Amino acid sequence: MENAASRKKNIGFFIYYTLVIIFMTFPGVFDLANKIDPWVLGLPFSAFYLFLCVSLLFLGLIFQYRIEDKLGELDIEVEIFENDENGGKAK
Amino acid sequence: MILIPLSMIFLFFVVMLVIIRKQLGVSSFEEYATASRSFGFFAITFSVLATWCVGAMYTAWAGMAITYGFTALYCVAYAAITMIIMYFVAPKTYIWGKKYGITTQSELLGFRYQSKTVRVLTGIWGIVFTIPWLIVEIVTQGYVFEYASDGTISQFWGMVLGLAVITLFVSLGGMKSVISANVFQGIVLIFGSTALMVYFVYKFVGGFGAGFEMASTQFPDMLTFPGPGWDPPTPYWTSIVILSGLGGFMWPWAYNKLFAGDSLRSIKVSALLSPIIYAIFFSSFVFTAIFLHSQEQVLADVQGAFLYVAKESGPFALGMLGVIIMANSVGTVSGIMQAISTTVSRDIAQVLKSNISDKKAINIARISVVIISILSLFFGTLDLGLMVFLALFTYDGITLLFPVVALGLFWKRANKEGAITGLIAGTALSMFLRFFNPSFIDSLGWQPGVYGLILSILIMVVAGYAKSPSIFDEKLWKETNEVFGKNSSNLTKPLAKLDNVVE
Repeated sequence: MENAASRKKNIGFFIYYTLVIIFMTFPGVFDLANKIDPWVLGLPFSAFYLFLCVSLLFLGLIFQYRIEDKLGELDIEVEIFENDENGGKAK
Repeated sequence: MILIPLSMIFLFFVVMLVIIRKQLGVSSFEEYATASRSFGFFAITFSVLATWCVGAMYTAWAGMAITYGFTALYCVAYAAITMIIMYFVAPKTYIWGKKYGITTQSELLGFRYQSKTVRVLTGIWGIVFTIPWLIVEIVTQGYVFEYASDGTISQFWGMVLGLAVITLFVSLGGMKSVISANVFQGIVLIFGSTALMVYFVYKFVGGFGAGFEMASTQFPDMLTFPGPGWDPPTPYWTSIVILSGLGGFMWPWAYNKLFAGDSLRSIKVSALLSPIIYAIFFSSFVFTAIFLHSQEQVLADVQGAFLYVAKESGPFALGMLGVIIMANSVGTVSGIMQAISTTVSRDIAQVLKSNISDKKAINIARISVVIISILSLFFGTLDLGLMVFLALFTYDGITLLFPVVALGLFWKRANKEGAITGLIAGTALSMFLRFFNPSFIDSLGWQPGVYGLILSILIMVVAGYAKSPSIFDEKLWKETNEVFGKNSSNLTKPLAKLDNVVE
């Protein structure tokens, strides 16, 4: 069965992504970053902030992928079924 | 002058056809629809990118980027959200697709909800909201031929040329040739476009540092939301990022690529790579557009701006931009045509008449491709002002598939009554607000799709709590969890497929 740790992992990452997306887009939070100064890495602050949020989402995905790799969730073997009159059979 | 750009575009088509020549010809409908689930992460990544990036980016989106600047970067933000959606929907889509022989997004939803109505309805949604994009892209191809040949090839014959090639390889090779072509198109457009944008930046403004310095002194508004000349409230930004992000992977031409993956790992790796590649590619495009805001001739025709600067840069630059736009456009059109033809054959024809043979299903799909091409050509010759308008607002409709997909995959209580009612009511509200545009839409900033989405989710949640999950749902969840737990060998009697279900 899909274990509790895996479910917790998915919920944890879902919350993380939601928070980053709120920071990236929502009124109030986004407004604070919607300005030119200070310039960071040669970019106006608004663009730097956007790329920072996208990078945080990307890093989250990388981290999630590595955890799933260790948990063996990426190499799922799927048995294929074929319908017949009795409702199906293994192919 | 016209020989070089035209030769480059024709060379692009020739190389593409040479690359996919061995992929033409399919032996089963599953091969036509999913390429027998045989593609690895590299192919899926570039296929998703090639299908997703549209040729109109260099016309309609160029207009937005040159006029409003930073706001156009919403595409980078929403791409990241879309790929997270792809990452999360991949496991169950892959498992159910492979286990139960599912080949399309609509078939997946019909199976999950055990409803032929859901299957047909979502298929129709996918087609209806896709068609404006298809036509805009075909017109873009005609426009590029006309521009590159300096009018020698008219827009109509340009459309015919582009469509003829696409119809050929989509109808003969299905998903296999579409993805093979997409890999080539994706590489050309991602690397070609980024290189060309860097070239434009150095040629016209002397580099990125100089460009930003100029922008910050001459037109600083371009570097923040919303940009010069308009003043929408921040929820406008929130809306376009969230709606596009949630809807971006709901297009059947993007979603169906999940069925072509050879493993879950391949699909997840492509979900990791795509947003970063896209962010680099699209940012270079937007920054170039922001810097070009300084050119008076560019501001006179913002939608033709990139073709203008390419022409000013010489025949090779014009040819390169023509090839890039064509790669974008052919990738999208071929993906759309393959998805529509598969939906017509699998989700509409086979639902209406269940005893269609595999060979007949392939033929229906092929005939659909030819009919779609002819119809698109016809609509492409009409006044497209309305079509572009419709294309830009199709997200209001396609986003409404998100609750049906997400709740269907992750919430056992989601049921067909909620899915059907939510989809219809949410889309109706969204379209009503879009076309009648009450004053609160502009004053508050939240776009119509947001209201439709909230209504749709509410309906699905209420319907979900109104009755218990069916025996099918319980069993499906149990079997899926067992697959996750690698206990598939302990499965008992498998679930009946949709074809055996009487609604």
